[in-house]
Amino acid sequence: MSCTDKDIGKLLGSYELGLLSDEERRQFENHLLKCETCFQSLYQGAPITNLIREEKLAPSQSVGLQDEKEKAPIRFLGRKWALAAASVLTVMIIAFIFVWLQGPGEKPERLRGHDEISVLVLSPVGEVTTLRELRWKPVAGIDSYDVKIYTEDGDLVWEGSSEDTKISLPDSINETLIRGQTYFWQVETMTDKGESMKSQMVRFRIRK
Amino acid sequence: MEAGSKEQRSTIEKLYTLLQSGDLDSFGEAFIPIRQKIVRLAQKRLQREEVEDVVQQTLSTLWERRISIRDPDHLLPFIFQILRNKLGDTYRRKKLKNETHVSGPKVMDSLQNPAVDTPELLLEEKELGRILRDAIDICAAENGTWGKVLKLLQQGLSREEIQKELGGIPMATVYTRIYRARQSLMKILKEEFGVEL
Repeated sequence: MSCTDKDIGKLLGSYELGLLSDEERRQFENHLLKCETCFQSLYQGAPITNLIREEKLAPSQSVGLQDEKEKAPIRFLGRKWALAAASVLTVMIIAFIFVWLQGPGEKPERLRGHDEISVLVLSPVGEVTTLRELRWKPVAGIDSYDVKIYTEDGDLVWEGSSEDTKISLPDSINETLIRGQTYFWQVETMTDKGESMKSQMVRFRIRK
Repeated sequence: MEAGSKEQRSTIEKLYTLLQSGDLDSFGEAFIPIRQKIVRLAQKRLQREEVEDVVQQTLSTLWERRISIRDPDHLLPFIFQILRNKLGDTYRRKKLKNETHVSGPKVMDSLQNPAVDTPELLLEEKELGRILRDAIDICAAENGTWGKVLKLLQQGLSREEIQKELGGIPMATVYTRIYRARQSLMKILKEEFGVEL
């Protein structure tokens, strides 16, 4: 296996270190998605590239006076911020004690309304090889979720409920769903106020 | 070097924009070309039935942590790092369960010598950093040109500064030298230090 376009492939090292112009970078990225060799090479070189990038950020071991001078304001800034943070923390503690002493009526609500929150789905998204489970992020105060899979036309294909933030799918689902065809899935739940809360409808398909 | 179409926006920039906008549905579609490549990377290191889980976990983590990506240039390294971590987690789980019997030849290699595939499993980052510095020194001793390029990169010079330091050679030649220096460094890391990335 070799690079599909060696002239562009030679930009690899410069791309890794962010040295290309915008146009060259776009050109290389387009190449990257076609060329398996360069993509593999980029993946393999990533730990080394990260270290070289870090070297750029961190002063070298053999630093001179100039480097030491550059370090000093950072230390000063650190102390300054630490003092500021300590002051803010002190004010917060005093405020908390004050509010607490006001009694139960003044306590903040543990849970606010869910008006601005929605369920965030995690996977599957886009193309998958097999479908085993559906996952989403937890929503505070919610302990039960309904999950539905729809066809592109909006017909319900499968539904289930879970008290977790994932649900395992039966093996038969991989036979029920047609490979290469697009489906959508969505998580729905009910808030403590009885309001329906839904995730966005997310598209996926099982690879042919 | 010919410039590509200016109208053509790279997939990675598009992915970055979709990540920032929070449009998971469109992101899932746009991610497909990279996903296929990630699948192939994972296939070289895992059993077939583990690949899908690792790829989905990678995508999930990427989505969850998307706010921390501040630059399109960081997107691919970020994805690679997540993938490496997920691969490492899988190796560790398998090691704990001692599931070596289910592995194919490549996976067996990885389990017996994880450094082959995931150097971070064996080498602490500091250790890898020390090795990298030593490898650059060896490279400089063996070939002055590649060594000089690596040192300049290590110092964080811009491409124009590197071009100037290399005597004003054409930028295309600068890129070629960086590429060859990289190849040379990888070879030294592999042959002298046994670090096969």
